[in-house]
Amino acid sequence: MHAVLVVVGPLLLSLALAGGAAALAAHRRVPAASLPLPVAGARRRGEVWTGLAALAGAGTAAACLAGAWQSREERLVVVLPLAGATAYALVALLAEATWPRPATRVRSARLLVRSVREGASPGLLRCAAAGGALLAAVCLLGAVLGAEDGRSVEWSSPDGLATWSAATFPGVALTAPIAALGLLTAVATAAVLHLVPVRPSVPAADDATDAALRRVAAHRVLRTSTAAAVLTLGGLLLLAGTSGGGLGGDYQVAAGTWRSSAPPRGWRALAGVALWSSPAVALAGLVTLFWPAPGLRRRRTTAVVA
Amino acid sequence: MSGLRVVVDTASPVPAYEQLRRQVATLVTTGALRTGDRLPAARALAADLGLALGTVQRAYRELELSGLVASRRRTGTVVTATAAPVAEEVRWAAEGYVERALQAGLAQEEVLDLVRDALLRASSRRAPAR
Repeated sequence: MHAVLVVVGPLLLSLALAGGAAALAAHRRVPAASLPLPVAGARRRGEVWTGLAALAGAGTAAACLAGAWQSREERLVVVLPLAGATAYALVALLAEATWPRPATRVRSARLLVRSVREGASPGLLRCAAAGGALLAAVCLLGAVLGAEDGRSVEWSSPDGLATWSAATFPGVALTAPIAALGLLTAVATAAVLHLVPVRPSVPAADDATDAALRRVAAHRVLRTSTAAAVLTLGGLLLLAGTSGGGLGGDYQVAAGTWRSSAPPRGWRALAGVALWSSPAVALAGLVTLFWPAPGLRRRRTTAVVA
Repeated sequence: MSGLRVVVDTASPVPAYEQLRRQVATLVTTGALRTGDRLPAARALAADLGLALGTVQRAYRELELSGLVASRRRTGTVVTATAAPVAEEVRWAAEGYVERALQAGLAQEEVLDLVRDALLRASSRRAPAR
């Protein structure tokens, strides 16, 4: 029952958030007929590539899940969000790298300086940095505190007579692939964010529309990668909190003589914080995943919404 | 500065880098671009114009050699030269000339050719006096 809730709850929430995001996007969407043809074409291109990237991400995540189901390999489950985000970012990178260049005889360009910071939302950039840093910190802490097998955590009584072990703990066996994939996701995302400001402008688009198209492209990849990092963080906190909080207890030293041993209060507090914060962190990850891009609104004649 | 544009005609006999150099130099000379104004990254401008990166980099290099811009690692390419003060009546005369020439149906390059021709005549008239 518990496992069903863990799977079905987030799934239903994801569907609700996706539905809300889709409804908002449809409400804000400017009809293609009221956009200049090249702008409508650029928006359509962005949407098609986003669909392909989402398919690649979902396909990769599904492959991880199927692999985990068959091989009973928990590592494939914990890397699932980051693997999906990496696939998404790589497809987005391909989309930006193949953005059509002008081919007319006479070409013009605005002398406009564009930067990564102008393209991506500052709030989302801060979330990405914070999420990445927290994930790295949890990976490092898990690797240090984990047992030698890299999947469990141990506590021994001070007299050395009893040892408690709990799994699954985010030790090095789990955090190493997460760190590697996290790094790959970060590199691919950074590459996309650097390509977005230097891709060719859309002909016939004014400054605001062109900036909105870029902002949407940057937002989509950044929110996916950030959400993946935050969801992974939530999962690791849940594992660490569950396993870390179950250590210690009573043990028999001689016939009729029992002693009690438990990790320090700080350890238990930390495990409690990890356990109880994990649903909120996971929720934040899901909300980030479906956060709509801050495109221009309907009023401005040319608007773009993710 | 966001309204400033550069135009490149890929069929022109003038190389693309030279077209770019001339236009940016004109914008600096006329004061449309001022000291401290940043130029777009060469990669972005090359993408917008559908040119090779090296073409834009060459234009920037030439501008840098003539002292109009400077390339800095942190801020990119920045305008360093200030516009020479141009008397108002000269500016009006130039604008009036361009307007009349365009009304007469001349192409932009022909308008410029006439100015170049006038400059050549003026300099040859002044040469014996030196």
